[in-house]
Amino acid sequence: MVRGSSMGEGGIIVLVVVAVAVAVFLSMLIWLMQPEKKG
Amino acid sequence: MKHDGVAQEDAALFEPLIRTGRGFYITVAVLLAIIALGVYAYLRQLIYGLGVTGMNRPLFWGIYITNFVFFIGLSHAGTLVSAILRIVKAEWRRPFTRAAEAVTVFSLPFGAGSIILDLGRPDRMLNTILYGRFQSAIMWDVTCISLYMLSSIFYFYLALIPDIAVCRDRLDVGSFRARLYRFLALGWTGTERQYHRLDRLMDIMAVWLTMLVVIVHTVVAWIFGMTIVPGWHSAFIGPYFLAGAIFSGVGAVIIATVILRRVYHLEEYIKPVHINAMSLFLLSLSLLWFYLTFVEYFTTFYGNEPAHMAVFNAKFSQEFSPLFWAMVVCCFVIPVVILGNPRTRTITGAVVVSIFVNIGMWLERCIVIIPSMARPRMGGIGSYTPTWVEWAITIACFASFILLYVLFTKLFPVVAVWEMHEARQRSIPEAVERVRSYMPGATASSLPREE
Amino acid sequence: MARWGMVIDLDKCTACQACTIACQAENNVPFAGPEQGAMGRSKHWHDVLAELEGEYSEFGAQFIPRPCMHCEDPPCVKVCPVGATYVDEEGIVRMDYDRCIGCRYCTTACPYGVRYFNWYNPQWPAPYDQYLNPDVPVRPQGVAEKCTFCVHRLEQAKREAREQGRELTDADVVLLPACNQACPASARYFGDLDDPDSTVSRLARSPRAFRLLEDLGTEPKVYYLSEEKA
Repeated sequence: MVRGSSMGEGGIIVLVVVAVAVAVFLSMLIWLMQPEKKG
Repeated sequence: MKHDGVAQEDAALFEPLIRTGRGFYITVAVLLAIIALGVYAYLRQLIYGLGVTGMNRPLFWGIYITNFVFFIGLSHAGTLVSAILRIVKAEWRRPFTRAAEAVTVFSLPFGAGSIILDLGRPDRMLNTILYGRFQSAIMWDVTCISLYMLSSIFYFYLALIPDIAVCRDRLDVGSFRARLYRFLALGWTGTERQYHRLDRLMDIMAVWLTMLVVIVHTVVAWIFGMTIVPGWHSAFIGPYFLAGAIFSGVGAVIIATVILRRVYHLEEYIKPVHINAMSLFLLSLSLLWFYLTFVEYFTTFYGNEPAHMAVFNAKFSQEFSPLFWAMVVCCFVIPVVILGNPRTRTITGAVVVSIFVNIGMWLERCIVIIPSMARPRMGGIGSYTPTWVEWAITIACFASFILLYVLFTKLFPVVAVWEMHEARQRSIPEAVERVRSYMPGATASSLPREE
Repeated sequence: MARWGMVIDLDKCTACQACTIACQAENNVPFAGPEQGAMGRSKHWHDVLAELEGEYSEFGAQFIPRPCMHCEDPPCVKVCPVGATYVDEEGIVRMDYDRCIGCRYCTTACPYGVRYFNWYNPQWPAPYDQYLNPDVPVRPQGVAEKCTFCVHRLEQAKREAREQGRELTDADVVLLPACNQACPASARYFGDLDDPDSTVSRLARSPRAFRLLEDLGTEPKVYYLSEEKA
């Protein structure tokens, strides 16, 4: 029996979770290092 | 709060980054040799198959899986000491936080790595992403551990930034390291606003990591708990593994901290009062561990179900009993005897106990995993003896963890310099004010404001 | 759709183990050898379990031929992280050897112990390599494997029936798997449990029928007949 080779839902969940975490951490760093306004 | 004062006050903490003794090179050489042997062992395993280990049917899992659980458990150390103690505002945590977080960051790869080392087809590892099925507890693990690893590394890095900036500005080192510091410092200038924002971020990450610690080790326990294998299928296994992880983790932090104190002459920063606080913490965890262990086994024993009693007897009185009782001695008797008595609750006592605790907790992982597989439901008795391949790889994992740690101590100060500075400048007056606010006769300025 | 199951009559079984040997040959199940066997590395997709009862001189023995149970709710399928083991539409628990990552979660989770793992690359010293069955894949090191109810023979039988323009009948399948075919005592039957008139359905309804570890809820599809258990 030939089975479909579509991506398992488990893999997608892992990738999404990791991507969201990376995005959140990067934005935290950006916020941290935001240059202060002069004046 | 610029970092000028920071560097002057704590110059001793930057010494290891500048000066390297012979001890360092010898240590690294020995570690590399051990790792090389482990790599050779693994290559044999890759080429000839898992048959080079002692695993068999029904003992399909052995010390690689023990190591997996053990290293993930160790990784809870940093989060606990750094994040949880931060949340409860325990000021005595300050000299430990970075050393503890380093234990987390460097042990996690070997937790996850041990699973990969155990796979029959590691070349197909990415199938978990391509074809992952979320009904399987392994996928929950992949998700949670990935998230935990990312979060721990980020938290570790955040707490490093101000000190990296000091290294960038003050240290006279080779051009590679200078460029590394400049890159990693991200332009940190140590302004009031930056410190304030860093504090906010670390508060958020501390709460997040504390939640993750609970989730991660529960999910790791559920690899076992979600099967119907006698001895594994217990409602209790999540909390049991979590408590055990924190227990072994605190022991690891004590060992790391005391070694660093000796090797880098940090007696001024890591004082007996700090080790005493950690020792009392370890002692209470030992009592908790004993309570949980007792509750688990007593319930099994009283229920007297045949499949479960087969496993119980294997641990209590048959071929696994030496390991079982060694575990109890290491995890309960020794900690209580040595740490329960103020006269033996010294720094040396703490390290000795911590070493036994970690040995005992490694044995505990074995005791949870192996006897259940040695007493399968459909009759027969299995047996398992690890081969040199498994021992070599196990020891190489420990050596690699230590090597990463040693290299880290050469790149960054092991005590968070800026946290010590913050303590002197802000935390002392804040703590005084806090205690004063608990007392009767509070003044208008310290009452909670109603908006 | 059919729902394939098996019935084994323990009152007829002589424990000759022809079933085990036939399976070994049919499915290219490799040798372990005496050393590896002593270590617990033998592979028997089909095995005959011996349960000894009583003491001298009142001995009894119960011999139980044990293929894979092909459970309706298989613990092995539940735990596989990549779906390398799965239940097909006709209830057969199958393996995808190309997808298996060798984590051995399934081998650990199976309460019946029917699953095996390739600890080494399988070897067939001459002249044993002469009898390898081309219809069944040879599995590489590092993957799990188990009884498939000879699904390759089932596919073949379906194909033949299609070519002849007819449906598969009960008579086509009763002795289809190699273990059933080899049994000299005619103690084994295979067929569609969803067909109320099939041999397996009628026998599974017998008062002598029982299954292994029934209280676990795995819903195995291998039924045993024994006067003792009635």
